Amino acid sequence: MNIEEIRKDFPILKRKINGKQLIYFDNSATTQKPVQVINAIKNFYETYNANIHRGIHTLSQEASEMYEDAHKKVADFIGANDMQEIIFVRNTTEAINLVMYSYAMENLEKGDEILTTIMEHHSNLVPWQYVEQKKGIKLKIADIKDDGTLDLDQFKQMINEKTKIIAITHISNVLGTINDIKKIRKMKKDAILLVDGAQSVPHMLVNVKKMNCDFLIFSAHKMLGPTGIGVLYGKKELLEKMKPFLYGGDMISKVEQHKSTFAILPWKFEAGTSNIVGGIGLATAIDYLNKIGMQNVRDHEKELVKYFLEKLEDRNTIIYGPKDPEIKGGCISFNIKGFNYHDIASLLDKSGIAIRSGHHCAQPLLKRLGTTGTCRASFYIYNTKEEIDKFFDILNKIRG
Amino acid sequence: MFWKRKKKKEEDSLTLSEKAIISLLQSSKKPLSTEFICKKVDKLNLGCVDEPSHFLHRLEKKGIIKKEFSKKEKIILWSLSEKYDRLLR
Repeated sequence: MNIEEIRKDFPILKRKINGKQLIYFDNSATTQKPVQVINAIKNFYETYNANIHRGIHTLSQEASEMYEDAHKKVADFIGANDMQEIIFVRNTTEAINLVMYSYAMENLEKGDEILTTIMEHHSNLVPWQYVEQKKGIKLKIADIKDDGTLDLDQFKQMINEKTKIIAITHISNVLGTINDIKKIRKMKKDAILLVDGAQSVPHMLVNVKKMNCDFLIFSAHKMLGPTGIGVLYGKKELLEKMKPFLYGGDMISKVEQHKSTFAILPWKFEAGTSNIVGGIGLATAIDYLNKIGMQNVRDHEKELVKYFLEKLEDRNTIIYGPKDPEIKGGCISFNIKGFNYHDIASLLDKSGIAIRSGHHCAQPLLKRLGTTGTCRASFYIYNTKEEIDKFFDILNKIRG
Repeated sequence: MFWKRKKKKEEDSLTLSEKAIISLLQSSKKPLSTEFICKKVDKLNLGCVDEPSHFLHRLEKKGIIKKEFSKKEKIILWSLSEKYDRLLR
């Protein structure tokens, strides 16, 4: 993995912020885009732009094929059976809402239980709160241990015959904790297992068959792709039984005055004109990641996390989440005693360093950790140890 | 006339949170910390708890407010900038 060569593909990394070279450590929020993705988007609009499906003319045929190929590419990337299991949505939140409305609201009854964890992003908590309020189901929230890993003993105890859905993040966007999905699957084989892969799919090899999950959810913009396009993987037999999420154009097979039949998968769940160029941008991002190799991506981030943690440890610094890179993704949350987390982010920005500060859309977790916010540095393929050194030159000046 | 139009436009472009921050700084006789401002604005329920901090930096970029880091207190202190009069008053 040649980082210097990779960095050349990212035009934004040449940018100066406040007169300093940009150091971008906010990859858990969104990643930067390589020139290959930018060009794919530009090229589509310049050369292929047309609406997909049913068009007779050449442009529509080509655009349809490109969009369908994008589904196939995603299916291969996560080890799905075929493109019928891949639904393009706007983002992770929309994907979870799709499952919530089309599966949970239709199939769960009063007294049923949904099990989730305290480390979820709001996107994997708020929709289940809605089901709890509307359907009278019980939402159970498993806790973490002091080291920021999931309390698996408690998690197991919370499972029973009423557990109908387990909704869990693969990697926490605050703690970086990697949850052992295979182990969780073994605890309960007959519940729907929904995995929020927003922080895992971009950073490591993820295979839906090996995890044996029913749904996997992730966003393109966190893996070099464009914003506004996300993915819902679902087992075909489940998706086929589910009702559509949105109704209208492009998701139908036949429409009469008072009834309609719906299109086959995945189009049944992709109503209206799709984000065609978004799908094509995502496919190009996957090509880029495949060329690097997902194991190399993971190894690189593990190395950066190890290096960063060694430099971060200090008696005035609180580090949240596990410290072992083997069970940690590429993000590190911390606070410096006596400092406000937003102030740290602001002072780093003055030196061209972008990190995120605040609650990271995980307010219940932050409350559990005894804080209202943290600083979070998160890495990707283009980050280097030299950038980490520069980061600590500034941070050490701040923390004194 | 030009300045009147400019001032009106600048004011119109401010969000409710930005207006709340300016109002806080106007009524304070001393610079205020990020944490203090965030807590006060959050109580108005205008958005998510992280937003006031975002808007502080947007106002700074617009030149309406300025920040200074107090090494002694380890906090950033915010106040209205010299440009504030010209831009908004």
